[in-house]
Amino acid sequence: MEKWNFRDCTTEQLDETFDLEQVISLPLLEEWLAASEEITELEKNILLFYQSQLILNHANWNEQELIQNFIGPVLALVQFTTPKSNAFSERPLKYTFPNGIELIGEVDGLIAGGKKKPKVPYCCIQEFKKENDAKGDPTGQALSAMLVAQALNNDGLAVYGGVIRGQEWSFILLEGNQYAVSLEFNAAKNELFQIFQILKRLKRTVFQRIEII
Amino acid sequence: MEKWNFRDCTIVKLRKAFKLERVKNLPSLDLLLSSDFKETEIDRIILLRFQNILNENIDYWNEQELNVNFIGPLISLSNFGNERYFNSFSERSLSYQINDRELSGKVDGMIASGKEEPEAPYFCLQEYKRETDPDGDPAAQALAAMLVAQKMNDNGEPVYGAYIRGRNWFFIALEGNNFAISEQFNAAKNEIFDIFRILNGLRIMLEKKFNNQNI
Repeated sequence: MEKWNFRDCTTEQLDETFDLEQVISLPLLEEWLAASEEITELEKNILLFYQSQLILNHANWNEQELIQNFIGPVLALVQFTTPKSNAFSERPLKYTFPNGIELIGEVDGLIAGGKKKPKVPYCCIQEFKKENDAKGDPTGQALSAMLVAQALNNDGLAVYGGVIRGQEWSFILLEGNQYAVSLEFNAAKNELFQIFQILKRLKRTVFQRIEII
Repeated sequence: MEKWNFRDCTIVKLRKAFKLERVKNLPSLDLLLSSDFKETEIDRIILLRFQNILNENIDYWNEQELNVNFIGPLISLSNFGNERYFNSFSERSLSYQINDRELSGKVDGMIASGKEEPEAPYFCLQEYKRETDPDGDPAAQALAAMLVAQKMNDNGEPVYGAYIRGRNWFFIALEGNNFAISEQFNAAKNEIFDIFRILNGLRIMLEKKFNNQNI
């Protein structure tokens, strides 16, 4: 059995090995990105506060500082915690595929069904310090975790993903053997509000799947 | 030369090697704890949201989840990142040779002068996942980093610190060879507002210090 760690995966390698196809877009991704969820005045003010810290400091933050000062606070504001779902960090995921390859690794951020530990992973997020981080293929890393999520869930439903590189966020959707990656949203600009709406829409989708709403 | 990493330090080891003495109270700790900062209504709403997430999850979080979902947001809200002369840093290395020993390690959280990178550290924070974590001595790890900060700064001023065990926060002051540790503040209770008040008090104290220096 061959073991591939998420951090070593590239989209090219995944495409070839798991017969994946990257497409320009997918209807579900379009629908997700078009999120128009409400942002309250309070949420707007808090987001602007976090954004000011991002603008002032992002060039000097290490990965942990980016997570603690921006990504964590923004995800906490979305509030994924319910009795049946939660936001998790650095939790391991693995799956051995019929071709004998085991994909394995820790996911930086995971939105999943399950309160105390992730049971049904819906969205895998990979975080990187800077836009120009030379190491690895961020989309490949997120996609490999999403493939594992798809195989574990085995429900024919789409798996969501995200890649954060410094102030740039992009979103990924995997459906069957096709995936699409969004353009980047810049959290230092007004696009932060779109990012927040996209995350809130993700929350609504997760809640629908676990039948909270 | 002996090398000691912060994570291997215990209070007894530090006390003996560096002739430190634990005292019940220190004027500098009283000053930190007595901050009269008052949170705004918006701060209050946000803090209660953070607290709600903490209460729902603390028993199941790993250390990173505690960081991402509670400690990070709380420190970020204390607004060190918008300051001109100092900033909040995470997982930055500190080291210093004291007599025949080198004390070194990464500090989970640090408030220090410098915008881009830490220069003079004023506050060192150590975090632990659970109240019952059997590994290491969080108070000693924070104190070891504070000791390095004190030697680096070499200005006779007190150095502050804190350690977090799950829900509970403890603040520390180091003045000369004496150190004092506060009672615990439980973030799952109303004491979350005390923690926020103390962190903002520290920020205001540093603001005054730097404004006076730069007049």
